[in-house]
Amino acid sequence: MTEQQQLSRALSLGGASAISTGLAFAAINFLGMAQLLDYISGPMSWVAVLAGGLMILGVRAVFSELNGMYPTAAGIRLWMSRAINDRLALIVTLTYMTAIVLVIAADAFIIGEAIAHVFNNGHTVAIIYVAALLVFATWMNLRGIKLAGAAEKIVTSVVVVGTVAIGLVAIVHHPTVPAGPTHSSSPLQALILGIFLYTAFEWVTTNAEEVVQPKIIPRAMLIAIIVLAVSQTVFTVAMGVTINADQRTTAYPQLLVAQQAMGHVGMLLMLGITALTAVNTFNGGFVTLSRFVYAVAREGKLPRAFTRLNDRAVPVLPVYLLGGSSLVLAVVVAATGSWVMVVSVCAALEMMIYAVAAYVVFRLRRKAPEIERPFRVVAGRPVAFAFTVVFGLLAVVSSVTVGKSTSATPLIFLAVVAALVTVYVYTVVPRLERREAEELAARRAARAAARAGRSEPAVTPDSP
Amino acid sequence: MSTEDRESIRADELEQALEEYVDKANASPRAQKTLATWTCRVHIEAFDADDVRFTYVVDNGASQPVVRGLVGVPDLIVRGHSMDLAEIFWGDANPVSNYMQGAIKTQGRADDVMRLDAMAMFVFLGQ
Repeated sequence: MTEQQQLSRALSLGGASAISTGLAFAAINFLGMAQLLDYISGPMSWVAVLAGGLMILGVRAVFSELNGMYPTAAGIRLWMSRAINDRLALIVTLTYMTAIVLVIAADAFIIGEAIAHVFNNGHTVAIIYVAALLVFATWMNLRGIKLAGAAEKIVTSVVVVGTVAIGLVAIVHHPTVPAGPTHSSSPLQALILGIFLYTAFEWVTTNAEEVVQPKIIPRAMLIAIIVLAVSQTVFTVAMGVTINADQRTTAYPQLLVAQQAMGHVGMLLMLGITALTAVNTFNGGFVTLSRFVYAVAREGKLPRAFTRLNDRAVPVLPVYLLGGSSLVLAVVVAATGSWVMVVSVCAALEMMIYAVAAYVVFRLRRKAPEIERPFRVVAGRPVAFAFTVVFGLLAVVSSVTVGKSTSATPLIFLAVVAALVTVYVYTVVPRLERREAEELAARRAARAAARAGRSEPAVTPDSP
Repeated sequence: MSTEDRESIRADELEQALEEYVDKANASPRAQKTLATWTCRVHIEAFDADDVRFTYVVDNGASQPVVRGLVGVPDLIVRGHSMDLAEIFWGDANPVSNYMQGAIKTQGRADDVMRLDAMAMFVFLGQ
């Protein structure tokens, strides 16, 4: 059967590109750029950012192949369950969802601190801003208010163009930066952070069912990578030549760059840009996670309470949980100043999921060779395996590095989350699944009996 | 179970399931209220039977009578084995669960898939 090629609200290449770019360009990226500059000098930082982009092209290839085989919003969960098994898929995806909570928390924290800095408020007021932002975001999501397609394109365009513009002004007019602590040379760390600047671009694959041509998603990802490469290279170099190492340790280095380049007006502009990045992050993050949790609960793998919808068809409990956990994390980060660790944990999670995705490609090439693959990873299994190993190693390195120090804290955090999820999947999920299976079997049996009763001819007393 | 082993549902049986579903959806105050702003044209296609094709329209939360064939440009396309589709509209299985397990495929916005599932939940679970 030929699949229909028309949809009334199909996602265009421009729309998909904006989604992919917007998902990757979060406020936390500015902190990632600042940390990258701890390992490589400003004028040479473009090497790390572009090298990260080259690695990300491989990730794009992996996700394009998987997306071509199974274009679905269920994404990595479905792909993993086809390649390995559903239990492991659930463990990995539930652990990975932590990244969304962290990024939302981090972005709220960054904006809160940025607003406090611009208006010369203290640290306590910054925490209040953070809390207010997350309460507001939670309320908006409970009301079902989301960024529409055109608005998303505009927001992303403003963020990218604004960042490039301010970055170029900073590069052209940068002052002589006072010498700060010397860079510790670590190409590997610089590469990890370079890759980090692009992470989440692949989330556009969850929009695969909104396009009518399969090639739109891979092309959108490529466009996003190019846009991110250019914009973030410009701004990372700008940051490196404009502010010193001490300034880079703040939670708002991008404001300081803009201030140096364009004075108070520049700082206000960059505050606006930072706030817009959070609009995309909150919009995408809340919707994605709440919908995912709802879907898993409807499958019978999470308690039914997670399926409860309010009068705007929004899954209430997932939104509250996400808002609440982000709030707690953001306040902890603000109170302890541990945003550097958030970058490490997010980087580790993303490297992990890239390793997993590459492994899934590796497995499915053998397990399901007959499935159509509109897009194929060049050289197939060997390359997919190589990516698995490389990104696996990068995940390990990320998880034991916080800033310039070696620290097992991110690894311990991730291990605890993964352990809790594993315990849940192996102890609670089987019970929930059994209940669902029993109820489904009962419904099917009743249906079969009803259908059999309708199809049997009536027996009359004179029949044989 | 391979699709070859599964029983296929005839078009008239699925049509009856859809008609009953439409009646239940229109009789559900929760569905009417929560989905009052939802308008969606859904094309339902079975890949194991060429004649199992229907158009189901929700207009501001109100389900319109189901029409045979694929009419108009859809907002959402739902494809699957006729038995999987029937189970959704009988209320034996839920759309999202079938979707997450790859039993049905969709084209269209995830929002519309979720609202379709929400309607099924209101109709069959009385949530």
